[in-house]
Amino acid sequence: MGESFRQSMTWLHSWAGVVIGALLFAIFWMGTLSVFDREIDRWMIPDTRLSTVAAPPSLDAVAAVAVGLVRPEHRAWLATLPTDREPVVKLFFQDSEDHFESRFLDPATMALLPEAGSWAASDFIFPFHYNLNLEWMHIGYWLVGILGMAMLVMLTSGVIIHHRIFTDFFTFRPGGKLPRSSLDLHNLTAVVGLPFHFVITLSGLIIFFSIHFPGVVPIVYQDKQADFVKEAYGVVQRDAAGVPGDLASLDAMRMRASELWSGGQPYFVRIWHPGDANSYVEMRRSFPDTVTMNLDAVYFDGPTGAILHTHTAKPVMTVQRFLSGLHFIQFEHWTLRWLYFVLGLSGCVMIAAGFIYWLESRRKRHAAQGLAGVRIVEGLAVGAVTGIVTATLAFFVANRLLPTGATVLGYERYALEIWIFYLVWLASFVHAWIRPGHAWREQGWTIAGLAALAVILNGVTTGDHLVRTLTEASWAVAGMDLALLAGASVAAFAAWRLRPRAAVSLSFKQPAE
Amino acid sequence: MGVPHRTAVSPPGLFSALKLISRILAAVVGGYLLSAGLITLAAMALGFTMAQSEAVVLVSMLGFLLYLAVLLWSFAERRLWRVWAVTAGGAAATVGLALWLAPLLAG
Repeated sequence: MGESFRQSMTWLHSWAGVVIGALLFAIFWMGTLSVFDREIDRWMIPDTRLSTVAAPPSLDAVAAVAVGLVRPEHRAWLATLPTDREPVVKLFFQDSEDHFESRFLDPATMALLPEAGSWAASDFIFPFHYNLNLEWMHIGYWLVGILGMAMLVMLTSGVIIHHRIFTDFFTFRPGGKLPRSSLDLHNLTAVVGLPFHFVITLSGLIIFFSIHFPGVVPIVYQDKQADFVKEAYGVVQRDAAGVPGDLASLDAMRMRASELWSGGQPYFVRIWHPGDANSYVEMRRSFPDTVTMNLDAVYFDGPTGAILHTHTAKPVMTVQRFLSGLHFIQFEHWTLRWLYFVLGLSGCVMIAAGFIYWLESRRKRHAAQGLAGVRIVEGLAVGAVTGIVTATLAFFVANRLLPTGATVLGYERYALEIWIFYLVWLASFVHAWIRPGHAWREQGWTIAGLAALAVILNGVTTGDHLVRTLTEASWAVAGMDLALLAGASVAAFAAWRLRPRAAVSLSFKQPAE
Repeated sequence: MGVPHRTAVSPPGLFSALKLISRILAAVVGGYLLSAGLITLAAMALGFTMAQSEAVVLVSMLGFLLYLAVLLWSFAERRLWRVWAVTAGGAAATVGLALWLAPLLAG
């Protein structure tokens, strides 16, 4: 630690940053992409590029399809209803270990769509953001939680070590020496985005409070932990009877729920113990026009349709759901959605610029003293920044190249896409350590090439090229293609600025989709 | 400590490396358990003034800010023994008290 409080915070900031910056960038990058998860889903699962339906589909018609797919090991099935961003009915079948299988329905025809063949954004990019796809023992949630706490530590220590926060708001000297301009950029993105970065990190932790502080409920509630779930989330349970039973009309139940919610509509419906005399129906209210993700729920008796239980969140829980809603942005607001995306990218730039400042302020000294630090950290930074962008684009390109039903060595199509992501990411680190001094530029060109290729492949394999998607106002697919082209341009420009003879004006690689 | 200021010339020795690891452990693990113990006690106390589930959610949300404060203090405090005393000692006291009180309150 240093002599003074500010010195100890400076030490903490630079060393915590360099140790965890790589994973933090991955989480910020995947979170930024998750802002447009549904749009990426449409791009990666072309069968779901449907036009929006005017009226919500009949739940009884959905049930007629679902019942045919339920197997004995399923203890529940549930359906999420179509929205503007997700024009399909998503059916999920939940087994006794809470594993979910999913299928998509076209809400206009009730036809089952072909299997998705991709985890796309909703099942790969988004979970990567909050658990790195490490489900075992919640280890991924814990890692992300530790990184979230470290991010809060760095934001606070970053503010403490600052001499002149207000001035930094207006300071960027891109023409200066690289340590100077990278520190300016780090400060600029950090100071401008500070409220966003702090709130997004804290709310991300608060969403998973029960995972991060797992002892509180068991200690306080002792052997009555189910009471907490009922009080806090309105979750009630009933055992199966073991005797077959009918299911009353779901559409009638939806009307009852809508009356209770003064016109509100369910966004999902779940049938527990389907086909059993003790089956019951859970409906949860949608929140398209509020930040708060309400916990309004109604439970119905399956065979009779009688109301069993209703729930509304209490005040503190409503605050928790407001903070969750700030993070999840499930409300419909395109301007804010783009703002989140831009602020997410600015967080990526902040982390990358922090890396570059660390490197450039030590490069000469390390070279003079024969230390390997800069070389090791530079490889880490390249793999973490341009490497994960390259891997994401390889994921998109693989999605458009792998044929339907492809399997290799027993791995299904969706798993092959994920393997390609991880192998390319790993290769980017190897490349960065083998080619110091060239890796930023070469991965920049790779990003530009892969992003452009992804746009071309989308046009060729689906026929939804930009001319068509723009004229037919198919915004999800058009937006993805345009973002890819914008990312390709930025990456190509950065790589061109990094061309060997212009080493002095080393430019900054902006991560972009 | 091996402070890598720009003027630092030698890498930290073994002893200061061990002291650093010790401080990180005290801050990250001890600080976490201290925060968890404190919020558990607070949840039980607030349970008398509001629904128990509300108290749990409230203190859990505040727990992250508490942990943040403990982490920053642990790196700012120069005397390592005090960091250990407050985090590990505080954790043992608060978690122990919570574990002892909870069955009495619940029963």
